[in-house]
Amino acid sequence: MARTPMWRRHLRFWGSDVEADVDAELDFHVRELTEQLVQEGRAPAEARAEAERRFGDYGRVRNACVGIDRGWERQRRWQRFLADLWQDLRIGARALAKNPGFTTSAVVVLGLGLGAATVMVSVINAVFVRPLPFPEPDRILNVVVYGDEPGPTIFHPQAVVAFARDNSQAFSALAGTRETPGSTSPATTGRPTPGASW
Amino acid sequence: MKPDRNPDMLRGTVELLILTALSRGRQHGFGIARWLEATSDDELQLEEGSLYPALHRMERRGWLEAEWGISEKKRQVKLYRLTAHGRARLRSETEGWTAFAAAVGKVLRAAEAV
Repeated sequence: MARTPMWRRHLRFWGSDVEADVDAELDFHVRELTEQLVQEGRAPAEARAEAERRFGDYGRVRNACVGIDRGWERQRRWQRFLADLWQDLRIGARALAKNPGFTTSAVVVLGLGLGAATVMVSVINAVFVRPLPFPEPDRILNVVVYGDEPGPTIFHPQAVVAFARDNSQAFSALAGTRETPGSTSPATTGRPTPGASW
Repeated sequence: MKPDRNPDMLRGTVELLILTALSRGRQHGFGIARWLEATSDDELQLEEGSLYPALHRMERRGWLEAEWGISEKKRQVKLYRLTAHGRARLRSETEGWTAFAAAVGKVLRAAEAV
């Protein structure tokens, strides 16, 4: 039953000292009762024992009080946190409502930034990270045939692809694509299936 | 023969006794115990420590308000007083308890009459 200095009660910055408060409160009771019994003519030691007997189980009472106060403290801290959060949100919303120009530009900048980031991530993911939607994508090769002209022939005639498909032992499947004039996207849209050709 | 007082009988009424004691004004736990002792002619045989969990519970429920003060002997002491909520509670609990005691009394008298 340590005595806590009075100033401790005002030091609530880190929350109250629940146990010290309970001890101070219960200690007061036992001491007052002891003194009353001494005044009634009991010997001090006997008075103290009688006071403790009449008080009952000190440890149980103390634990019960500490438990109640701790739970209450937690509840109040949580409520204070929610109240602060709500107040912050309201202040923020009011400040934004007062400056529509700032709000608009902030929303636009945020929107563009988020959009750009999303596009970048999607493209990088599709092009570099995610494997092609085929079995064993690491074994897919782009075949380029060199013809009479200098440099690789990118567009192979149908017949060349068909011949390679029918005679090559090196690949389990072959497919070709063709670009339509005036368009940069392959004419064969969707997923090429292994073994397919024109 | 001394009447048999079951401690369980007291347990349910501790809160009502505290509310009643505090209806007279601000008081600490020791003062409440002394007042109950005096007004009941020491008949309640209350373990005085059992007042405190009840006081803390009632404070948490908002029936009581507590603050630290200084006693006559310059000791720091926790003083309780009723809130408006506690006053309303005292009224409804007093009514409930009186009705309950009257009902139990009726049953006991009916048994005696047989």
